[in-house]
Amino acid sequence: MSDIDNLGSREPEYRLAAWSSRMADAVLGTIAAAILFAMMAVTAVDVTGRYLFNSPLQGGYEFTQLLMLAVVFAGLPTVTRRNEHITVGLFSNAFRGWGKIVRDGIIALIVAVVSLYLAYRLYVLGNRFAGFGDVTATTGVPLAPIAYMGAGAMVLSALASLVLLAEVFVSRGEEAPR
Amino acid sequence: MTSTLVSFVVLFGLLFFGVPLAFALGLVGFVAFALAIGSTAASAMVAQITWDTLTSYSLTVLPLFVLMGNLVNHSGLSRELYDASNAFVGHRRGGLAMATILASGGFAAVCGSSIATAATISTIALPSMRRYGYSPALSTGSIAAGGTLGILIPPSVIMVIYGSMTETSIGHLFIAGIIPGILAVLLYMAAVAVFTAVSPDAGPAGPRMAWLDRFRALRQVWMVLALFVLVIGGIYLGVFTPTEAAGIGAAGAFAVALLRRTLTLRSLIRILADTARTSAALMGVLVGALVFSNFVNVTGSPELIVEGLKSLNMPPLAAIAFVLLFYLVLGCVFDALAMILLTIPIVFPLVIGLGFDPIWFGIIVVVVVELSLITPPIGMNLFVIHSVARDIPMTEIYRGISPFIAVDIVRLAILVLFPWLVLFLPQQMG
Repeated sequence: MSDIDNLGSREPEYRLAAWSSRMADAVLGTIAAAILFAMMAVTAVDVTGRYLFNSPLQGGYEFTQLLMLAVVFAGLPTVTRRNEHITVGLFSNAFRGWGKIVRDGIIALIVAVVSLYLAYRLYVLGNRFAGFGDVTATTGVPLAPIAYMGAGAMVLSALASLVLLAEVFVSRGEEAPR
Repeated sequence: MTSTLVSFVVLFGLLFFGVPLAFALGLVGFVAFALAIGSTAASAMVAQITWDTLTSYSLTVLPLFVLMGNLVNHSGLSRELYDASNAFVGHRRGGLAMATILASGGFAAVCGSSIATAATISTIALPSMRRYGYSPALSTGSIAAGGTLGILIPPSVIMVIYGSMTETSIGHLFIAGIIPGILAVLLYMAAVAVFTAVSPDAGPAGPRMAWLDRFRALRQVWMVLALFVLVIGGIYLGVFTPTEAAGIGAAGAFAVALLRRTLTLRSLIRILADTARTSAALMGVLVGALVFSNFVNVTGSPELIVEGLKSLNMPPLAAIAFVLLFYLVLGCVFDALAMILLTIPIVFPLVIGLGFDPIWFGIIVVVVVELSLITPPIGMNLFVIHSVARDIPMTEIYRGISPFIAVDIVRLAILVLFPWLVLFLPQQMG
């Protein structure tokens, strides 16, 4: 966890912020881990059931799909928080001092804005699902709550990016030349 | 056409500035789509693509195969793969480097990422080659080259992404990678042989092992072989869909890790969470890429380029040579994923318009992407090795990789001239 603990040794309110974002990271990471394990188990049980006992898991592939969606949504905020999004990384060392702070700040803002917008679109999509009463074909799982959860996850991802933004200014401001 | 060009320029600007791929692709694709078609259509498209991609059945292979690789790696099988390879070829000149290639190929059979393969094998092979006095150039070169096998020998993350962007069968792509993968292993071993024939001091021979010990070493790795045969064999025979195979593969790797008692609850959660993050990052990138490629498609630019090329009356093989040259140059500055995501929306319609096979081209793309991973100055695998062995200067790594780049170009030429090497196995699948 030390890699995301840049706010650690400061004023109490920073420590609280650091602690809660670390907890959120750990909780979401564990949730994502559990969902992924379920995804593996569902697929394996479905296949062994089908080929060995001739009785597949009813709607197994639908669960697999929804579980993947859940893995990604649970994982994304922690990816953002840990700054692990895939970049081209060609000129990552070209920015130093204040230039780097400004650059990191702009990037964190872009990530936050795009995440928030996607959250809003997923919320609208959820409303549409709710309006039509859309459910999955075999198992009848309602889609609207899942879209709402996706929207919530994207809000968390935006928040995570804002925490990064705060970090950029709080902890790196000191290292920069004045 | 102009709007496509402008969008590419803006996209490159954002990427070089350091904006993550997923967000740069999604943002530029969305804004450009809104300007070209309208904001209502653009906003509906973004939500729909996100939903469709993240619930796509064929993409569920991605997290499951990543999980399989991570579990196998954690259970320590990669070291035994290396020891077993070493038992068979270690007594030859350059034998440890050959063993590195073989072990990379073996690890690639359960792992779909080149960077993960290079990182895994380097921690095992590098200390061993150092102990036996191998030259830094040959050691790093063989690891970086061997690592590229990760995306050619199935499973392969790059094939999954190519398949989902072009709606090409992922199962067929996997099977098509087998013969080129074996060819790659053979050519890399040949490169080691030539390297050590020219400078024998670079890779002194190790002690010869008795046959009994060889088979004893092999006994340790049967689990990796069994997983590969189960997963890829199942896809080949049509018993499993790729997703089912990935689920079985991941569960199998989990069982192996349990059997070998390498797993604690804590480490299991860490592996699962790491896999979830890797998958989330990859899927995010894919959503962004699909938004962007949707924009490129509505502008009709790919058709324009195909028409333009056809009016030149260029022979298809010359056109392909041109495309490959473009990829090789691009590969010097871009890494694997970015290269695929940025070029496929334009290049795929072009190549298919010229009458080439989508599966064949998928493998060709993987091969040029492999090259991009080891071509200086920007080759991801070279950086991976450099980060493991800080004391070896980059110039030495560049020198060591050159013979492997040479045989890679030979392999590319072979696969372009003899497409049946790629297409033979998938055609048997029916």
